[in-house]
Amino acid sequence: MYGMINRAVQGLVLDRHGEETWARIRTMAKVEETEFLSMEQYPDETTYRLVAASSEVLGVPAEEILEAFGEYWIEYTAEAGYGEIMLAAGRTLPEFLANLDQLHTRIRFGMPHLRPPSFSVSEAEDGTLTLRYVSERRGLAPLVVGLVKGLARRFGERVDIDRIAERSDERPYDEFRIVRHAPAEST
Amino acid sequence: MNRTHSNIGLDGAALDASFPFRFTLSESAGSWGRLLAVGPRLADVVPAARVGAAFEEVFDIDLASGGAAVPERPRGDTPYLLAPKGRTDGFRLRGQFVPVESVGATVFLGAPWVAELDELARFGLSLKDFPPHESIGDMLLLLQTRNTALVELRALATRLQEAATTLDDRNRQLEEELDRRQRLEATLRQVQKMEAVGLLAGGIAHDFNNLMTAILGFASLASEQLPEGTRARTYLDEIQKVTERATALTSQLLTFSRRQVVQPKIVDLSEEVRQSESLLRRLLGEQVRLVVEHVDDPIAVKIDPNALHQIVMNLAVNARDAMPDGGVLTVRTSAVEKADDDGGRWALLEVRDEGCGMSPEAIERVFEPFYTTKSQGQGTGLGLSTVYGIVQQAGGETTIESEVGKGTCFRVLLPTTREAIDGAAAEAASRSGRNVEASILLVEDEPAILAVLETTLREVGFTVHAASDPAAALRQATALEALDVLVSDVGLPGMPGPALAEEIRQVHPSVRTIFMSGYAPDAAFRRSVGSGEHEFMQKPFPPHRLADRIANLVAQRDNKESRSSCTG
Repeated sequence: MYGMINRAVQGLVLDRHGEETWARIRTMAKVEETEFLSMEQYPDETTYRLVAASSEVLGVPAEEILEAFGEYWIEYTAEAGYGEIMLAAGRTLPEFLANLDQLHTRIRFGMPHLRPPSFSVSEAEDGTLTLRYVSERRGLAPLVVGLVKGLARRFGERVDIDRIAERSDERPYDEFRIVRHAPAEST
Repeated sequence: MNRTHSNIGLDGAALDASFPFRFTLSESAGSWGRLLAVGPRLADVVPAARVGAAFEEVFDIDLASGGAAVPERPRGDTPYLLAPKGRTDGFRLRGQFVPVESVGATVFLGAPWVAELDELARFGLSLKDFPPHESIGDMLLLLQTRNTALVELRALATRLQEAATTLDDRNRQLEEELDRRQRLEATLRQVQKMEAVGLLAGGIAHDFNNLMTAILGFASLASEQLPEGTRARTYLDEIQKVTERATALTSQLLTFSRRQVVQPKIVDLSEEVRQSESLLRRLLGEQVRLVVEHVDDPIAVKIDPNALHQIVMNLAVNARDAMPDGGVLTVRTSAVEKADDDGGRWALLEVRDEGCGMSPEAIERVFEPFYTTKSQGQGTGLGLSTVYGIVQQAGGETTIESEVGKGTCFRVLLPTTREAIDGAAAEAASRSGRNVEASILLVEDEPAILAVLETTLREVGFTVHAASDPAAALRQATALEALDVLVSDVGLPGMPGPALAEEIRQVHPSVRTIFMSGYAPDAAFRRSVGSGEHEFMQKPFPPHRLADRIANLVAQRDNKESRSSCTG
């Protein structure tokens, strides 16, 4: 995985729990790096160990950590110099989700080792969205829940999201239902 | 050869999807023609671009990128930048004009020219406006991610730089601390060494002084028994002179070991140096030019004036000997503030020569007694040790700056005092009449000294009660009806002289006391002498000097009593 993911995990822990907690997580995860470089490749294993250690140190299930990380990722990318990219991908939640694959495809020209997931979205007449998520990595569905919530906040919306179909041997994807409500009170 | 490619023609919908910013121009003589068709996104973002409008009404050609001058007809081999008229936000289209001879028209194929990703929002565009064949969007993303990585690296470099600076600072602090410790350890070693040597020297001086007191005393007594001019009397007088020279030597040792009993006064450092000047000139000889510099304001220091003169003399002699071929000797006095002191003023005496200088090894040992670089017979090696001892005893510091071949500068720092400078000390004439009657209790554990002093004092006419230990002395004192003066050694077996004096004062409250010692190791005792609580005589001394001192004391007491009876 590119270092930007690990940087975001580090940023989340530092922002919410401080230096000391991060140091404990890093030690438990046996991660020697004190800094991650966004454009550098790191083994997926590093990220998984960081998530597992965060869960252990913070006493929170890994699913919650992943969801929190998904939400934080949207904030982080906007602040860490990727805001314009996000903006270029769309200005509404459905538009953004529909363009995600194109965005990832384009980004891959500059980050050749990127192995992004794939998203497709359909919008029902009542505005409810169905999001299909396909990834070669397993266990990251809670991350998608966080990402969608983070995106909705970014676009000034409030959403409820449920996983309606779980990936299995027969089904190579997870599916989510996103119910959009009135604009959030503050963004 | 004329070839047709009708099989790859694009219909309108395919053109719209692939080139949403395209437009088609008609052929027209004298102008670039009119718009025959307009792509869907161009119509959105440039409202003036409508079918039928003249090209010149809709676009300006950005000459900076399109060529030196606008050609009569659009060229097919040059990229063009087109700026829509009326848009001032910098929006431009980049593309090429493709002549389509079969229909007599020219098609512009291009897309918005965007150099920074944030311009997309400013121009009302999104990534979708760049069809997949158009790589500008990809380049923008690449540029943005690379820029972000660069910002990250810069931040990292700054943090590393800060960490390096912090490390450098800590390193420097550590080095300074190590340096300071090394200096302190060196000072401690020097102090310990000097202390040990001082103890040794002081001990030897004590024994010597006792022996010499006896030698001096008996020689003096014997001399007085013989008629003047006889050979034997001359010999005895010589013995006394030599003994006095030996006394000066032990006195220097005592000074170095800070066991000397001094009688400090408040003096002006500059004035004392001025008083030494004429003697100094005689001492230095003609080869050495003496320069004395001092400040006008008095610099009050508390020190035994004789000791101060000795400092000046010893440093001057040392400087003279370092300049066998002559040179300038500068003696300077000033008031300074010490760097490691919190604001106190210090008196500085500086003695600088242009002589041979000293090696670092010599500097380290220069204050040790008997250390000398002079040839045998030229120096005792006690001069600078004496300076060291006096300055230490006065609460000061001695430092040396010297380099071989470049001369030496001794700096003596003495604490200044706010007390008023003493007037010329009223030295009472001590040679008072010896026909004073007085009852004396003499206590000395060294039989030879006891004998010589007892004999001398009796000869002078005093009533002398001699005791060789404190117990005997106490017994005698108790039995005596009157006791005028107690003369006691300081170091006595069983009870020190001062304690004995205290006991005797219980019986004879008005008794005056003279202590004598070859060695006065107790600092409190040395201070009490300095404050004038009692009299003190440094052994060895000629016995008649003790007689004079006793006579003086008794006379002072009698004078005081007669004055109080007149006024009372």
